[in-house]
Amino acid sequence: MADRLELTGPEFTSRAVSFMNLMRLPAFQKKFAKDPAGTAMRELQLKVPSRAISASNSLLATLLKSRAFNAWAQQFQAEVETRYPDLVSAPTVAQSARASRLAAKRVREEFAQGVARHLPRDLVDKLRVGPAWKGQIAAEDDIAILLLVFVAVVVVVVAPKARDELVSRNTVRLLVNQLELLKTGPNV
Amino acid sequence: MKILDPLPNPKILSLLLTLQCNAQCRHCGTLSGPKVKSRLDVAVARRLIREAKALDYDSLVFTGGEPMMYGEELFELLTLGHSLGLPTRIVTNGFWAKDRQRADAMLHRLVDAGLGEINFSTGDEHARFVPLTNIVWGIRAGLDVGITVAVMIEVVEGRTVSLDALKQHPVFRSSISDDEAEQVTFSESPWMPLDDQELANYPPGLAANATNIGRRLGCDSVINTSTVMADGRMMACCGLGTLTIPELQIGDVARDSLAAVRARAESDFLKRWIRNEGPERILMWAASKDPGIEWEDRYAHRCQACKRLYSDQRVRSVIRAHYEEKILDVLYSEWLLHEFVADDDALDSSSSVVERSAEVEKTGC
Repeated sequence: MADRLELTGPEFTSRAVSFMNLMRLPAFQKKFAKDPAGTAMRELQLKVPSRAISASNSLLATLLKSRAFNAWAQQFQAEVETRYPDLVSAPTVAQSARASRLAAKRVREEFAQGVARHLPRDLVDKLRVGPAWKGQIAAEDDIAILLLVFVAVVVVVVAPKARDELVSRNTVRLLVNQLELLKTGPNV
Repeated sequence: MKILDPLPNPKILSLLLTLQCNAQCRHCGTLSGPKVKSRLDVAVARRLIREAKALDYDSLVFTGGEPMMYGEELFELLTLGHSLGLPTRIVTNGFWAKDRQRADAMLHRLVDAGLGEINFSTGDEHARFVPLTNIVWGIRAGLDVGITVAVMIEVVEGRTVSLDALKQHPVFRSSISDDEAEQVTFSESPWMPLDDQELANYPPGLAANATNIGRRLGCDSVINTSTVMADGRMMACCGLGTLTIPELQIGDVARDSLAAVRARAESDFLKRWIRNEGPERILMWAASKDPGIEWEDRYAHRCQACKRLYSDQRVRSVIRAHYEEKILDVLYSEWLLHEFVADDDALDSSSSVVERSAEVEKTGC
């Protein structure tokens, strides 16, 4: 039916496949990171606005590509496996709950704090002056303390659905989404 | 799996075996009820389960309607799915768990047939037809046979059935210990009208708005869950409300394979956008283009937000006019979440704010 709201077509499918293939190449990844809109226009014939990548996705990329954050996450996982072996080995949250719901909550909170500690400086500077801070957090001098308190007070670490993992890239995304909103207001 | 590993997109086959149901809940998402007789042909169900296995689906769900009204063939289908290595789950209102003995007997039969998980639906609507004691006996029996048990409770303003109410029920208190209750996954989910213009009353803060939108991720059902209705229609998501959204009806068992409908869903940018960001964020985006679109504090259940997205002409117009602006962002997000491998070449060495603070402390500059 002509009026069905379906955004299909061979162009989209082929561009999506091309994009994923190109992004497997480190050289293309670097080119894309420097100029997403220009690269997409040249390589995929995709006309997009100059600010083609949302702030949330940029921040997510910054964290996932951060050597320091990845190293921390690896260490965090090892610590969690030692502290809560039953929790980590459970394939589902439903089963991990049998080990301990409280432990799962603690892991999610500690993970959120780890994300906060690895935020890029420019974001933190914006957060410090952002309206969302005001009246909620007193200690604005020490950035590290401020971020930890910030996570505890402002950010909601939503428990994943029953079949999701305990913490994951989705958790990172959830956190950066909230941070971005606090900095800029609703970001589209 | 490591914490920061790429996320899989799980594939779920959900069969609405029958839309017949002993209950007749207001706003039933699948329009089921006692008088609805549609029923999925068992041979078709068998074929779909085999296709799901061939396509490496991750799990198999039997729902409805009330799947326990499908009869003996439910057990045969459970056995087939289990024998093929597919984890199986049933979503039921528990009408059959009238007492402990009957609940025990049924759970043993189900588990013997291959059931791995049971989900009970309850709440103010369901409880009009199925007493809470049935849910308790169902939970008890599920715990006894050692399978995963989950309970979904409807949320509306002024409800009488809540998680607290269930746990305080005398039969619950006398038959399920606190430790055992910890083993059950309880979730409370907004109960939604199927009409996107009909607004339900929810507790404050439950409906999406600009303040809490950051807590919503993409829809984990669209594309990933292939749903087959009892009448043979194939849906692009879990099925809630899809009967009133033509764009989510993307095939028919009489002519389409599971692989074909999944590919059809994947080829639609809008569905991928919904999967990636969720319908609420798309409504917010549409409202940024057309301020006349009001979306805040209306939708607690994301399926109702999705219905709005598909049925509101203003939202549809904005999407058609501007969706290309979002293509790159959504594809990039998909890549980040599901494809990006953090190997040595891909990582950068820029330090975080805390690391830099530590460096400053060490070096004094």
